[in-house]
Amino acid sequence: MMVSRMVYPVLIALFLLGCERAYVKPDGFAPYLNTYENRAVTPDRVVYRVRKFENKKGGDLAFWKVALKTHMKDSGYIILSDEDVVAKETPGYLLKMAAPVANQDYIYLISIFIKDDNLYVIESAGEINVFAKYERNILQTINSTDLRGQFTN
Amino acid sequence: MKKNLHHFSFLLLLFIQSIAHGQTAINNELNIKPGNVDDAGEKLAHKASMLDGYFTTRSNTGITLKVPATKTTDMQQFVEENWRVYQQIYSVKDIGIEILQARSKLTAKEELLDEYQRILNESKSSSIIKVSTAQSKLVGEIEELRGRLNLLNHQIKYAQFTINFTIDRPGIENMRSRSSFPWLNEIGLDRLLGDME
Repeated sequence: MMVSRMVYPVLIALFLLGCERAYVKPDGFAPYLNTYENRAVTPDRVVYRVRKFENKKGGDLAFWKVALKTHMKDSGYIILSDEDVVAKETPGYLLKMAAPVANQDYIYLISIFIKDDNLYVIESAGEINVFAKYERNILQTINSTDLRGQFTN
Repeated sequence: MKKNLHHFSFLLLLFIQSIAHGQTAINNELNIKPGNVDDAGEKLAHKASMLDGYFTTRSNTGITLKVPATKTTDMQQFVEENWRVYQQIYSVKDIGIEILQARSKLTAKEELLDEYQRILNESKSSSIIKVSTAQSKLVGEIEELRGRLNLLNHQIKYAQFTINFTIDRPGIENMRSRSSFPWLNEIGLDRLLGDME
């Protein structure tokens, strides 16, 4: 009886650890440990992150598409392309942008999805030439992401 | 006020130059931020040409011009009228002594060459080779000195303008607009890269 009481916390800890490792990340990326978000990075500084926001205004995807694109354009980003995208059957929207970082040009990808009153945002960025090496992997990962499984909280 | 002070300093340097016996080399380096570097390069090259000068190098990072020293002020005014000058290094170097030394050396070497020629004419066949070798070496040195003198005289005649183009990049820290939707204020390349540090 005493032993089983000690085993439960260990099992719970292992379960939580297992949850954290279940984050889906693109090939070539290493995960950040001890974060409640899915964060990953490559050795050459291409970053990837999945975030969740409460969809307070209750806007649908069509609404957020326009809001996001307008906001990013107004902020000074150069819009390279925008298209519809799917994350494991959840429809979403993908915006590809360019922006200067110091003396380099960066690619910045944002994709958004609405699911269960939440707004999921997947971001990725890196120096333009380096990013090109990982872009396909990133898009494949977005397509296969189970949004609800990306968070431990 | 700042522009007047800048202009006064420039005129003061020109005055110093004029009292330095006129044997001075002018180097004027300016940093400007043109919106269109091709257009700026074209305008500057054209102006130099109008002032009887020319450009020696030109790229999208800057242009180097040679302008008659007497028209330095005209070129300076043209740059100031068309672009904001962010930084300027104006230097006037007195090269009179350098010219004098080069001329003295040249005269001495030319006299020596004449002497070699005289020896060569009078010498026996066995010593001809040695004199001829020394003479050849001396001719090379004389040519080099003549070239150096030409260059120095050219530096007196033409002021050099090195105009560097600085291109403003907005920087991601300034790429931000406020939104009434809180989550939109949470995204952006600066935040992403900052959070992933």
